[in-house]
Amino acid sequence: MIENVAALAHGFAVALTAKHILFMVAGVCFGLVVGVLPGLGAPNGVGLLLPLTFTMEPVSAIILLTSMYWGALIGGSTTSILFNIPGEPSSVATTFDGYPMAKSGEATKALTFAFLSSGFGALFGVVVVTLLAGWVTRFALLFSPVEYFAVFVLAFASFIAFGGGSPLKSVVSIALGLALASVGMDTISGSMRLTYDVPDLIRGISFLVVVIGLFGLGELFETMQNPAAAKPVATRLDLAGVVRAALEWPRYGVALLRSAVIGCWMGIAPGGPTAASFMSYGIGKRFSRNGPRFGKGEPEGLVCAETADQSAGSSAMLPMLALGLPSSATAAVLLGGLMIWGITPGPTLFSERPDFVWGLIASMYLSNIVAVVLALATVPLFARMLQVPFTITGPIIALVCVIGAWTVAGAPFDLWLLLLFGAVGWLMKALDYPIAPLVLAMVLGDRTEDAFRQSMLLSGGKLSVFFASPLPATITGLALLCLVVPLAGMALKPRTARSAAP
Amino acid sequence: MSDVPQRPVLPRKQAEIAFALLLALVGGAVIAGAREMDTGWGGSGPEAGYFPLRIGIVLVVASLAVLVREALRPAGDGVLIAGIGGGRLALFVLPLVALVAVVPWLGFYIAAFAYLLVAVGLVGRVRWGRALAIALGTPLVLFVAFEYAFRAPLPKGPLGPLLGLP
Repeated sequence: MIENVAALAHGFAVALTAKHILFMVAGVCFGLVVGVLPGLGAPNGVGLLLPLTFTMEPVSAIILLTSMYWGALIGGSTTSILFNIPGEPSSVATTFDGYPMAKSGEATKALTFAFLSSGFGALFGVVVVTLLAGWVTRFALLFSPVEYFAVFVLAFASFIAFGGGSPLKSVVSIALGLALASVGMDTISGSMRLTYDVPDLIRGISFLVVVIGLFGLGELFETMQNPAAAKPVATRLDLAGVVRAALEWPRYGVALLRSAVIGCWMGIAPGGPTAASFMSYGIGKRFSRNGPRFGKGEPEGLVCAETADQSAGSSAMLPMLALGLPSSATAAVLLGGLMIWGITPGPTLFSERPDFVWGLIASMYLSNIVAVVLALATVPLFARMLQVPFTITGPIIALVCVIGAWTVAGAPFDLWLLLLFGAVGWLMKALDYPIAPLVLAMVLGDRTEDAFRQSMLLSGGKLSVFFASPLPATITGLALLCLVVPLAGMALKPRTARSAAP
Repeated sequence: MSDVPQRPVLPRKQAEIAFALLLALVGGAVIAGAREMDTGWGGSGPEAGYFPLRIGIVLVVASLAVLVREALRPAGDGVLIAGIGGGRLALFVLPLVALVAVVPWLGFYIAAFAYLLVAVGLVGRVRWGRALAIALGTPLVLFVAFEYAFRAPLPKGPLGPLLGLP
């Protein structure tokens, strides 16, 4: 623990430079815009900005992109509260109580609570990351390819078990992602795979183009069918109200702590912010004294959702850095970025690139505070921005997506891929196929396969190696459990499982 | 979703079946692609085609399972594309496809101007003055951002030599 504090102090020295503070502010501002506008979510926003960071120093790049992520997570709640439109999937649970609060004239209180709870959740998550970093890296040093493969399988399996929605459709989504990842040159033998003699496929399919298509265009296509006329319930905050709400806010200490712990759990074990906010809301509703009032404008419901959302987002950085295991779609995009910058995630990253790791962790403390302040300051601006009709913002966002896909490799072929994946993303969303597992599988695909092939090399081709010693056996066992339980449940009662879904 | 009854164009059940079938075909293509390589075991463990073949099989099996389940389900009143929404979607997508088609020849700035003029002015029915301002202003902002701030120049097409830009 002591060594972590020393390392963190060093990280602050990296993060507290004028350039990096500027990057945090810029990143948070970008993130707020991205979180507020439809069609620009956190994964897509990070994906759009990523190609522009290829030439940057990795630590500057990751500070810029993660700050954007925090901004997007917070910005998503502004629209949830004022417009009843979740700017981010992880802000859906925020609408349940945030919008009724705003409608009954408590918009200032709702926004202040949401931002402060987000900030608390994020800081809680960063403290957990700081304290656990040493322990997790020591644990991860025990990993050989066998354990890595088992962990990757567990990550996929837990999306099938806990992702919500149909387990079969999650399987389809993961398989599609793994298939897309294997297009192009095989990293071990060097032979071309699944290119079907199309020269453009030799480069492989960039996960960035896929992310921008699935999350960006896909969401635009969906919004275009039903462009709701957005009317905010309030457009300004009064300062006295902010102060009054801030003084009242600590009363929800129990809910804050409980939600932050749930968020961290879902952030470190694959689940991600969206699942975390729903779970925290559900648990709060069940166990809190105020539970029966949840959904009718109860501040505690808002606190539960927002805190868990943000603490899951920030604690997800730990497995991403220490194991190369992202627990959300945005973390998966960031992980893809790490590999492009030439940084191999894993336990040795902490000892080999302390500047990078601890600079990032230190920046998380600062940029989350920046995000809370900027979010409060920019509410009137975004409330007005959302009143611009979608017939104007839609085409501009679509144009930005096309440019984003171009900057990945400067290839016209990628633009057609973008359109294709826009259509696929729209269909997947409309038909309730989860998209996050596809992105996760695309980013992890090559490493999953490498880990498998290396394990087979080590064991001489015996699959039993995954059960040969206690650690991989435990992980593989958990993964199998995650796979068998939902699929068996589905086989036993095929009809009722689906009728509950929206 | 809305209270106004809309003429269903594509019922959800058919859409589910069609999409699952499409995914199964993609899985078939993955299997076919993997079979062109060695899908067994070599000296260094699994060969290049080993993993893709199995993924293709999983994709085919899982999407066929979705297909069967959806086919057996009684038809609900869910709709994938409704009449009005479908029209709006087509009007949004067509200019975008045109944009992607002309970018390699015209560069981003001319293409963006034309796209925004059509998408905002013609399709979006925003007043022409306003649409023109958006169509002119956006490429200008993009130029400053990409040329100077991000230092990642976008292709300019014939506009480059015309204005004497690099």
